[in-house]
Amino acid sequence: MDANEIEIDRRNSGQSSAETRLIADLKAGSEDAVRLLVEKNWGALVAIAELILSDRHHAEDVVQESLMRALAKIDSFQPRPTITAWLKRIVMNAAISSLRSQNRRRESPLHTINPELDNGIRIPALTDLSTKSTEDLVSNAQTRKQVTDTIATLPETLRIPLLLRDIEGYTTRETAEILELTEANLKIRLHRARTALRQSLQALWAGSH
Amino acid sequence: MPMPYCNHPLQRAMKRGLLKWMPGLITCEEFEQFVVDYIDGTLADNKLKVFKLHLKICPECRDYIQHYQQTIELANRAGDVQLVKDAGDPPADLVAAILDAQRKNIN
Repeated sequence: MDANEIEIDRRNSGQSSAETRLIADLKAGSEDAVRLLVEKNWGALVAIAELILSDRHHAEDVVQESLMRALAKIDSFQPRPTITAWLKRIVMNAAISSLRSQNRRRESPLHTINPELDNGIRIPALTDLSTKSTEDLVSNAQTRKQVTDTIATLPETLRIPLLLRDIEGYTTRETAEILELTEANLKIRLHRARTALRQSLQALWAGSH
Repeated sequence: MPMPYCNHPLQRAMKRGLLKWMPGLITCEEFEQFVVDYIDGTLADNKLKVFKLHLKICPECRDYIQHYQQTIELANRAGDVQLVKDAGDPPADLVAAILDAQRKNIN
């Protein structure tokens, strides 16, 4: 791809010129470009896969395999809207697919809400904090840990919708499509997940009543 | 999920009865059913009207919606910051493996 082609492609896709250059370098098989991409995205990709799979080693395996597959075929694709978003989507699909095949073996499919699991959500112990602004709350390491611990304890039927919709920022419709659920079903799960998380954080707002 | 924050059972019953039978008003339980669509911005106009009216007259539900929105914001911010920070370094041989896979795919 020459400089003119890169510029036309960049304008069409809305990507930054650095991003377009990186993609061109990746397609050319540049070791530096692969290293830069892996180092920049590894943490975020493992984090997403781990939230889906609840297992760090399994998550790392899925990310490694996804990166190898995606980048081996990058010549035939145009990563959009950004290469990071493209990789995230690939990793999420791979993690969800891996979870589904794992569940098939256990005869507990992702699309079936298990009432026993949903009612038995284990909420981590409440912390005794009384700060109120979101900025204050999010800057508190203990609160962040409590939020992520609670999300990790949610059953996958609630955890994955919350991850896609509220953490990754997919729309309700997109999340329903990814998870092959109806929007109505997804909204029920989202509400349950948010309610469980809100209840685990109840002590944070105790001072406001 | 019952009313978010009402204190005494009698107080709850009286409030529910009042909201249920007054035209144009909704109960706290009905309010809760609209929350996800309200957050998504997809609540139909007629429902949005009664939702907002309920917010005006119910301090418990005002707290509830504020905390609900704050919960979503916390999940969004804390999830990203905390989890990415906790992830370790990529395996040393991953770059070589990717390049190898790329070469095999080309050949």
